[in-house]
Amino acid sequence: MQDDERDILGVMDSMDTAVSPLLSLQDLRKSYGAIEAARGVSFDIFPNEVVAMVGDNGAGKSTIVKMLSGVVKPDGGQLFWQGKPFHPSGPDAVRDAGIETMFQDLALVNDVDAPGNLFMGQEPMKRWLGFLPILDRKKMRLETERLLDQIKIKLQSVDRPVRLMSGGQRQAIAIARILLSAKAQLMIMDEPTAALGIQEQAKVLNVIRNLHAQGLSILVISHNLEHVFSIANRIVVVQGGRIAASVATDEVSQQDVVQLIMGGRLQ
Amino acid sequence: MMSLKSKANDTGMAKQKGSQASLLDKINPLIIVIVFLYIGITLLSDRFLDIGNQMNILRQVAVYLIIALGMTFVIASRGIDLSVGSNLGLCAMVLGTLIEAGTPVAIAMVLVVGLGTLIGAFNGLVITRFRINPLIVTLGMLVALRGATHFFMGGSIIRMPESLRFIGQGFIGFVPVPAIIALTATAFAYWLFFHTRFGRHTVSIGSNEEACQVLGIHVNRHKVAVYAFQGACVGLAAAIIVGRLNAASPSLGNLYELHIIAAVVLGGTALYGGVGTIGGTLLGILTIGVLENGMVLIGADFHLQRVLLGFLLIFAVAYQEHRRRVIDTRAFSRIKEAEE
Repeated sequence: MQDDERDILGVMDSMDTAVSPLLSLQDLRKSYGAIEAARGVSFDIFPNEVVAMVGDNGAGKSTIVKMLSGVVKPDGGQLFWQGKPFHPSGPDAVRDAGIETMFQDLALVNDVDAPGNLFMGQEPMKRWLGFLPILDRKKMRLETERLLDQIKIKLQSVDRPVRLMSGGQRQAIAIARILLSAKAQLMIMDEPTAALGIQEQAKVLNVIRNLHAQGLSILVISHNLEHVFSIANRIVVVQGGRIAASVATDEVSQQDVVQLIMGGRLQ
Repeated sequence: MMSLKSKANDTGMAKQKGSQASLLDKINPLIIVIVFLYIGITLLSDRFLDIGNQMNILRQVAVYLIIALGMTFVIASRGIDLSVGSNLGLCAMVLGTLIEAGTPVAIAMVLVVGLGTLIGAFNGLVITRFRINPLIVTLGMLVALRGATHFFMGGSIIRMPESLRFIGQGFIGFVPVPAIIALTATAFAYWLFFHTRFGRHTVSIGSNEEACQVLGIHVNRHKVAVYAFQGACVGLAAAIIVGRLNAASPSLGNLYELHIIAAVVLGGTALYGGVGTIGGTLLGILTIGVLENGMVLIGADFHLQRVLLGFLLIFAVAYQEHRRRVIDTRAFSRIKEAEE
C-alpha cells in the first residue's frame, strides 16, 4: 500500500466485482437548514461483509445511519437495495426489507420492560379463549430470554421497566432487538460497544462475528479502532459529510486510519 | 457494570428487600383511601351504606368513568384533552336535537358517538399536524365548542324517549344501566390498554416518542386515534347523561375536564406520560364519587366540594411525583447493590 499512488476510493476494487452490492448508497445528500450533514455519500455494502464506518464527531455518521434506517429522508441521491432502487417510506419499511438498526441512543422506551422494548412495533398476538386477541407476553418473554442468552448477557429480571436498568443491560436489549428479525440481511449498529465494560464489549464483538459467520452483512459505527480492526472487512471513513476513504482492513494500519479521520491522505 | 460475581449477591438480601417493596408499590394506595372514606362517612351518615345510595354512587360516576377511560389513554400518551366537557355539551345537544327531530334513538346515538370521535380526531390532527401543545389546542376547543353549542343549538331540550331514559336511568336487577355500560366500557378499555398493541404503543409514545418513531410506529396516526377514542367515549357518555337527566342543555359538562383529569391522575396515570392504569382510573373516579356523595349526605356546601376537588388534583400530582422518585431511588439502589 505504501508507495501506491492510486485513489483511495478505488481500493475496494480488490473485492470480487462480480458480486453485486447488497446495499448501495449513491450521492446521498441531507441538509438541516444551513448545515450540510451529508454532501454526496456513496459507498456499497456487499453480502456477508462487515463494514466499519469511522469518522470524527460531526462528520455525518449519524445522519448516514438515519438515512439508511428510514428515520430521515435524503434530500437527494439514491439508495439501491439488492440492486433495485429503494425509497423506504419509513423505519418500518426498512425493517420489512431486511435492514435492522441499533441506534446510538438505543431507542429504548424507558417505562416498558425488556420484552416490550424488544418487540416494540411488532408485538406477537395470540387469542385468549380462542377469540379475543391479546399480546402474547409469554412468547415475548421467552424470546427475550433466548436472545439475551445468545449474546451471553444476563439480566436479573427482564420484566422491569428499562429505565431501572444499567447502561450495559440497556445496550444488551438494544442489541438483542436487532437479532429478533428472521429475515434481516443487514444489521446497522451505531456504537454497539459504547456503554459497555471490557467483558461485555468482547461479548458484543463476538455477536458481530457470529452474525457474520451466519452470512449477514453488518455496518458498524465505532470510535474504537481496535474493535474495528478486529471485526471489519472494510473501513469507510466519513469526513465533512463525504466518504473520504474506503479501505480494506488488512491493507491499512490503525495509524493510517487515524490519519484519514483527521483529514490526511494515505502516503 | 454487570460483573459475573454479582450473581450470588442478588439472590440474597437485595432481592428480599425487593419483593417486599414491590408488593407495597403494586397496591394502589387509593384502595386504602377508599376504605378509610367508607369507614369515615359511615360513621357520619347512616344513609351512606344503603344499597340504594351505593347504586346511586355508581350511577353518578358512570358518565365520568366513561370519559376518564379515554382520558387515561390520552394522558398516558403524554397528551391532555381539556375539551371533553365542552364536547360532551355539544354531543348532548346534538343528540337531543336529533331525537326531537324524530331520529330513532339508536341511530342518533351512533351519530353522536361519531360526532364525538370526529371532534377528538380533529384535536389529534391539529396537535400532530401543526405541532401545537395539546394543552393549547384543547383549551381552544373547550372555549370554541362551548360557544358553538350555545350559538347554534339554543336552549335546553327536555323530555327524552323512554329508550334513552332507560340507558340513563334504568335498572337491570338492582344495578343501574349506566353503571353496567360504564363497567363494560372499563373492561373493554382494560383489554385495549393492557392487551393490545394499541395500548402498548400509547404508553410507549408517552414514554419516548422519538424511539417509537425510529422503531416504525406511526406516532402521529396513533395520537390521532387516541384523541378520537377519547371523543368516542365522550359521545357515549353524552347519550347516558341526556337519558339520565331526561334533558340536554348547552351548558352540560361544564368543568367535567377537571373532575376527570383529577381522577385519572389520582389513579396513577402519569401526567408526563408513559405510565397508565385503567384500574387506577376506576379507583380514582370512585374515590371522587364517594367523597362527593359523602359530602352531600353530610350536608357540606357545594362550593366547598370544588375547593376539595381542586386541592385533590394538586395533591394527586405531588404524590405521584413523590412515589415515582421513591420507587426509582429504591430500585436503583437495588441495582447498584446487585452490581457491586
